[in-house]
Amino acid sequence: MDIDLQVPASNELRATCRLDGANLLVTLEGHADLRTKAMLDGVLGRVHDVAVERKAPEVRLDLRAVEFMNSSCIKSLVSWIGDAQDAAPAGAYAITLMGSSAVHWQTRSLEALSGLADIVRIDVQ
Amino acid sequence: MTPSYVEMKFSPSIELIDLVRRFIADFYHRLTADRVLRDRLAVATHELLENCVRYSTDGEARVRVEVSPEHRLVITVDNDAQPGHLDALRKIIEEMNGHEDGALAFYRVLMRRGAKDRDRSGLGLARIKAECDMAVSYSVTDSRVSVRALTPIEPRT
Repeated sequence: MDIDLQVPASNELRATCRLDGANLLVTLEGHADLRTKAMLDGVLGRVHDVAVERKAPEVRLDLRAVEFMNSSCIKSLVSWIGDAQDAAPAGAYAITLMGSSAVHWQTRSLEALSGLADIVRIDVQ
Repeated sequence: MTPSYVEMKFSPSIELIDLVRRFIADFYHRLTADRVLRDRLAVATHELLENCVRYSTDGEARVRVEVSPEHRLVITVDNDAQPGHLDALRKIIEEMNGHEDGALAFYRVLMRRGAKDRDRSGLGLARIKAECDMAVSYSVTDSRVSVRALTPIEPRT
């Protein structure tokens, strides 16, 4: 089932969210920078609310089709991880960040994010 | 012949950052066949351009990419800035370059420190050092600040 992310469409960054069993699968595609930071914040805020409301055990964020992400948007991921930590124990959910080893920024940025919190898992293929 | 430098001046607009970065990425393509290095350079260029555009106070941003005869590539951005920004820049670069546990550890320190501050990133320069494996330095002349990122490079033969 698709989840309505309730954010305006962007030419630079596209986002979808659907239920995958009890978990949420969020997919981003395009280019994440200052032009799209507000949109990304909106997406992650909405995903957090849905995950807590539905008591989803895990949110998988698929970044493999994100060509580039700037540090402001990486910061958005950091803040979202913080929100997920703060939701524990009642609204706790794990986060898996999915990346591609063929995309340099994903390999390095996800490595940096992996050490931030126990709830974060990295899946780079 | 290997091209040795490119320099651009542009109005400090967020909309122009991606355009300038892509232009410079083409320059990197002519410099090196190393795709990972090109990706590292593109990330560093973007972060420097964003800093420059965000803090420019005189309506002009400049970027220069230069390869020295010693095979060192230097990206320099240059802009006028408020004294408060210059102080913040000095503090972050000095703290970053003096951090004993390495670039990745400092990058994570900044991530944790700023997790609740949704307005500012503050991660850009630390990212250049931790993810792009580049040395970062700066210099100030009056109100004009130059920030540089440097890495060795093997040019195309």
